Amino acid sequence: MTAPRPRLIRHWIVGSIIVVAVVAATRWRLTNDPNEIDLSNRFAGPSFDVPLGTDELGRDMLSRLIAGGLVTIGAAIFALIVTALIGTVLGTLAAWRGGRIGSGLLITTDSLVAIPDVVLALIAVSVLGANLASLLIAVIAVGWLSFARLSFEIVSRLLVTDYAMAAQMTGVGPASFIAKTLLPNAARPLIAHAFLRFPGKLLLLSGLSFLGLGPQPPTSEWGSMLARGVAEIERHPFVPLVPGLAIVITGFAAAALGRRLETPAITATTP
Amino acid sequence: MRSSRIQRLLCAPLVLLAFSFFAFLLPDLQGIDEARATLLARSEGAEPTPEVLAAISEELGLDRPLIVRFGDYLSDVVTGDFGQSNISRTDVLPQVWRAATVSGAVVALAIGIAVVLASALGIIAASRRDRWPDRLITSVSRIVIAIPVHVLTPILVFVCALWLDLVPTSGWGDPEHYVLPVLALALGPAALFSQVVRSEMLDALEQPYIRTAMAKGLPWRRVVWLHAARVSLVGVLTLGSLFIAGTLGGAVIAEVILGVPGLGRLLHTALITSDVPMFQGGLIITITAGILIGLAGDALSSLLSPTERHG
Repeated sequence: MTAPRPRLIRHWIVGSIIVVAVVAATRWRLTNDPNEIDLSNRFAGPSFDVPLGTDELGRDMLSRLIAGGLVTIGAAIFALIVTALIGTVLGTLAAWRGGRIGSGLLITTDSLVAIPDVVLALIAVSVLGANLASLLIAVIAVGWLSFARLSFEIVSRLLVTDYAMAAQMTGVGPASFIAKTLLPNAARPLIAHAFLRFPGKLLLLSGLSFLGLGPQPPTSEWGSMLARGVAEIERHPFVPLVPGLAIVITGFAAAALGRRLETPAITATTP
Repeated sequence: MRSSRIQRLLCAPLVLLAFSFFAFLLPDLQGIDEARATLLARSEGAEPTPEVLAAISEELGLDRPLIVRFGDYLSDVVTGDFGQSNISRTDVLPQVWRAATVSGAVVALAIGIAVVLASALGIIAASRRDRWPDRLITSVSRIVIAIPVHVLTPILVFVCALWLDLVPTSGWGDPEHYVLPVLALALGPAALFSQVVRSEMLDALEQPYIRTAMAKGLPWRRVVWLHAARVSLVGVLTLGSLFIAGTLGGAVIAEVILGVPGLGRLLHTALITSDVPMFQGGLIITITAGILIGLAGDALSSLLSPTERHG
């Protein structure tokens, strides 16, 4: 295990500054009101006052991008944390208890994987209506599967290692065994998996919202911004380009981070 | 592995039953008064009297216990009777079936193209490891993987239809209408699969039998395309079959944007117009398809993988 390279630390610092700046900007209203309509100023080009121009109702695109990003990214992070917790707890328990519970979990995950996530989301929306909560429920309903699967595999493999057996032979209780022996060893691949899964959550959430199934207007959200922009793509291709690029860049960055975290984990676990 | 596969086969009907029950419950969960909805659909919006409502709920059998109603619904569904659409007042099944064939063709074409494209790109990348073809293919794939269907489809519309004017933006009927939806659904999986083929190829090229083949004096090109490629193709074929369900999900978005009359757009329209029977029918057909494809993928992977065939 080598110390983190200076470049990686620099990435984290730059990333944190951007996050703090964005939150500060919206908190103290340094940007324009994202929902302020100005019909005399529709599809304005970039200027000092509106750095990314305005949309079809004359709203400031940069403000909407920031406000929408907080909704989209916030929802994706929330969904990711909940799915990771549910999946990891179920997967670890199933591997720990083994036997019928273990195979039960595997069969459940394998069966549910066959159902397209967008279709599950359509079901959730049909019951709960088009809003952020039903989107989150849909994303969580399918999201825990991969975490359960992965933690099941990792913990099953850990349980037969010499040091895990040695730890159990010293007579530690199950809680301390899970917390001190299993989790520290399983954490890194699971965290890498979380970063790799983040783009999927982001894309699913913004995709559903693109279909008009998410937060309703005037709330800005990247997927719905994109959908409105696409309607104008012929004359104003810049308008859909802004939220589209935001979605792609955010997803790409998280995936790159996940790959970087994952690489040493793989070399460490394969003999 | 084998026993879990058989268990899964046995569980598939249970999963389907559970989702059918859920689909059947949808109107209740949504708080829709079915008698009222049916009447409004039949009488074009006239407000019904309580007596008529009672009569219609008896006709529909809504006063019977839930489980009996579910049994009736199931036996209807099994005989192909999904009821009538609330909007068009025609049978649901023929419309769902037509939509399913459209989606099926689009998704199958997309996955087929993705597998072929990815195999070629992955093999090229692996055989020229760390040189410019590998760098180019790997970095382009990583970017394409991060582009979701709802961003990729507008880009394709803009570039192929509006800018280059190669294909129509939307509509359905001619073969050229397949181009945009198939591309929109194929590029993402192609990028992902090419990375899988690349890493499997790199593994395969390290194996002793490749060294033997090289030592026998076979040309490098022949070793790569005949020996190593054969092994990695197993992986990508299995992956391709596993990806059909996910692509079916992406198809919902692509179909809505491009106006393709497939299952995804049918579900989306039924949801937005509250056409409950249509939504239930589309849902049951989609989930059945997903489960069947999953089982087929399993069967394919056990047929192709030598260790499992003998295991």
